[in-house]
Amino acid sequence: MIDGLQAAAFDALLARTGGVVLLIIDERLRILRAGAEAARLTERDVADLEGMSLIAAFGSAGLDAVCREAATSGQPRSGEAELGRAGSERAFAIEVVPIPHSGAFVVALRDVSPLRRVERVRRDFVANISHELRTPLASIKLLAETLNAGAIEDEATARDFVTQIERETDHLAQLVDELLDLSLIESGETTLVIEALDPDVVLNAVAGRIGPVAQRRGIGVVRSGPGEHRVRAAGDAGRLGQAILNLAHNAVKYSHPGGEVRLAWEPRRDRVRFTVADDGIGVPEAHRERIFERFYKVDRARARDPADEPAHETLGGSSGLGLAIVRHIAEAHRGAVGLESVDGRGSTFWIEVPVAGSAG
Amino acid sequence: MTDTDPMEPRLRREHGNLRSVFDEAMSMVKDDVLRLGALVESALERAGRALQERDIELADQVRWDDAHVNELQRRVNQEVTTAMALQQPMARDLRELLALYHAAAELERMGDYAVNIAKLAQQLSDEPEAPLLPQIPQMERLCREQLHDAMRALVDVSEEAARAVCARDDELDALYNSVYEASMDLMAAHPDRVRQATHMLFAAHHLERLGDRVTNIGEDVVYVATGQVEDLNA
Ligand SMILES: Nc1ncnc2c1ncn2[C@@H]1O[C@H](COP(=O)(O)OP(=O)(O)O)[C@@H](O)[C@H]1O
Ligand SMILES: [Mg+2]
Repeated sequence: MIDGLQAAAFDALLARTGGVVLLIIDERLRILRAGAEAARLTERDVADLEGMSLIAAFGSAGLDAVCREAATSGQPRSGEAELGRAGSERAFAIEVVPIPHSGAFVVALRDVSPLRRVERVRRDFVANISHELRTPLASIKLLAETLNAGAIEDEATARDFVTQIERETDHLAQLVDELLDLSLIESGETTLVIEALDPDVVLNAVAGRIGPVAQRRGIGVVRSGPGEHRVRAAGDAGRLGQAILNLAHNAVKYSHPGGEVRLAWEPRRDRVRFTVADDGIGVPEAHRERIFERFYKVDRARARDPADEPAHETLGGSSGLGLAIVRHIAEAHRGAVGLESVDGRGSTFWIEVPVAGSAG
Repeated sequence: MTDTDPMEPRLRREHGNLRSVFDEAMSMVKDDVLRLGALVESALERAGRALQERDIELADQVRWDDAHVNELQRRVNQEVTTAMALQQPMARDLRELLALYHAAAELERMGDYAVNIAKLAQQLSDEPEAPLLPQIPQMERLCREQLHDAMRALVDVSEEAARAVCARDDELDALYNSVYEASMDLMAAHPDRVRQATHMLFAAHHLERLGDRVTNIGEDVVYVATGQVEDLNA
């Protein structure tokens, strides 16, 4: 069994390894010593844990199996298991190391659930991309096949099909652009060129680009600001404009025909806030938190609703990437994004960047 | 703890030895039952995930791994029989051994339900993709919470915790009833989805039965703690 010196070494280790669950067990998988993190994870007192079997304390078949292997072989072993209360388990990496000449083992458990979550997101990402790319590709192929099979002889049909192919190609191109943008920004490989920007100039540029698109849908664009001012925003003109334009595109896309989109800005403590408001369909409460995730769309069925077709014609299809790009741009500026919305009555999206000359 | 009687040191020592041999045997049985519980919990989690993600391989794994559950139950049976024969335990010791024996049998059956759910996951994945009724993952999660809590009550021989587990079984029954209604509606509205609806109904049925077996373990714990046999699943 462990002696006083080993126990002292364990206590010293405990003191220096916050966040790691540490135990000493014997070869019969009984807990000899436990730290505060172990107590927290198992929702028991340290005193209760000491003397308990590993399976009684943690109730994990996986942890038990790894420790048993170490105990029978006398060799270090590692593995992974889900630990914690059923329904809210987290993934832990397990390391079991024998303490020489003692018959005891140190068990260290490290929470790796954030890592696992990231991996999962990445897996979903790839699955999503292929799905989004396949849809337009499939329709292009179908249209081309139909043309080849004889539709090309009929002038009107042929023209219609070619227009549709063009539209699908635009959508694909937009998707690829957005994906490249997103991966560039996410990898941190784009360096922002931060300048002191006049917020009115930024908004004018956005208004100039969204105007014609809005007009085609019968939607008005209104600009406003605090009037006379000397405030400058610390931003990359291109990227910041792109972010606000994305918000404006959405505002037009999710507005009812005849609606109004309002672009505005205001100084807010050490930041400048740009807002894009609409009276469109709004974002239901339940979705507001997730809407900035890539590929997240409120309702796939609604996004493909034929009633939305006019919007799709002028704005391209829906990728669910626009807001993810906006968020990344905001974060790259050390700014923030957010929204206020009344479901069915409209939304106000905002993006903030630091005031030029302010610290940070 | 044994009484210390200075008049009979030899007897005391022997009795003390017997006691510790018995305690050793008992904690071995108990640990194996807890291991069984952990295996079943993991099987249930994977079966539920296979159902949700249409993962045939994961379901296969659950079916294969059931052999471990069966083997461990056999081992518990053997350990209990040996302990009974050699130690001839009385009163609470006897109750505890019987309860563990019974709990192991319940857990083995729960493992079978997990396998049934895994099989349903495979059958469902042969059908066109349709959303799973949301109550089913809820039931699966609740079952696991219940199982986890029951095993903890067993570790602590906590009558109170065991009764709490039994009381919560109603939630599972309510969810099952709502799956029943929902799958009937689904069949009526979409005759082409009758098979999917039936599979989902069966999955919920297995989960409901599994929940009943969890309450049986709760009853075992109450029996150990009080010596009373009660039906807490009325
Ligand atoms: N102004 C808005 N009004 C209502 N819903 C919006 C608005 N902007 C964004 N959304 C919702 O957020 C989702 C994600 O937006 P975004 O990332 O730009 O992707 P996309 O517009 O390509 O679908 C959209 O699918 C839509 O459901
Ligand atoms: Mg968009």
